Amino acid sequence: MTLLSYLIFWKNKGKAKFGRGERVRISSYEKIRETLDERNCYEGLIFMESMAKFCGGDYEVLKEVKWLYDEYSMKMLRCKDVVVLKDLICDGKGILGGRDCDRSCSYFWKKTWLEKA
Amino acid sequence: MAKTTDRMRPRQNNLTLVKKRDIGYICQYTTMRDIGRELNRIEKFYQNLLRVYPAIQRRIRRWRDQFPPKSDRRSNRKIIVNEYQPEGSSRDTLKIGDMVKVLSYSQIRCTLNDRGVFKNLSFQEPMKRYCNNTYEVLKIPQFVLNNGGRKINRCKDVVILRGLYCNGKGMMTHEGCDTCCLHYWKTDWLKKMV
Repeated sequence: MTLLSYLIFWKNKGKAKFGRGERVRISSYEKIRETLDERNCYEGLIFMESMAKFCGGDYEVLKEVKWLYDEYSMKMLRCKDVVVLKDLICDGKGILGGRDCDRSCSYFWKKTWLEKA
Repeated sequence: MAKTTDRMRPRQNNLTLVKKRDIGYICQYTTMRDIGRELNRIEKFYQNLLRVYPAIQRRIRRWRDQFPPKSDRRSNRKIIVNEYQPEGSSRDTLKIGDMVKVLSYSQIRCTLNDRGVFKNLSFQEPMKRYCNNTYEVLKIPQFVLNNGGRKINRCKDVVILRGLYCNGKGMMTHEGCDTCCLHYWKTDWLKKMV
């Protein structure tokens, strides 16, 4: 198993790692907005409006996301350079038209949006 | 005029799905397919290997459940399902910020059916480690997006507790998922602390 996991993750060897429990600072909203395209995405990851209020703050890393389960296609996906931060949860305001979504998913953050504190 | 056959008609089902996905609810959950890529052969093999150990554990547990201990034998669990209320559970209306104690696993197990489900909500294996501890109520969900954004589900008697994340272990289809969702708890599994 360890050999297989080494084979899969050898590409990430030289890149910056954000371990569990590490303190991380989210860069300012203006810096992040430069990376986004017309659809408010960076490499397919949407930067939602409700994420803007967390910019500039220090937070703890919960996990580095490597595997994803997409419920739309019912498939497992492989993910790169994405991190989940502790206690940063989507409030889902106004997503379902007038109603709020209470699913409370945790936000995904690209590594380029973060700096080591 | 020639009648339109099924082959000539455009695929309406697919079109409606695309419309809903692009125009409708847009958040990170509904566009998860764009974040990652599909697995290659080695990764698929690795994923299948990860599922072997929990599958064996599940089969052993199912076999062991055929011979319950004496205390459980007297009460037939199949009849009790969905009607039994464990002692000390609170069906009172909970509020955000309330402190709540999770009941022990033996108490919760009485409510579950053979598939480990109580009122359409499954009790997953990683939730066991939170039993007998007190936590704070974070949210009381009412409407929830489901099936990757295709569906809106209405919740009843469900609560989300602060800081109780899923670690993606012991899943049937997606072993090792890193999305860090929060667990959902039925109010029957909880006891309100004063």
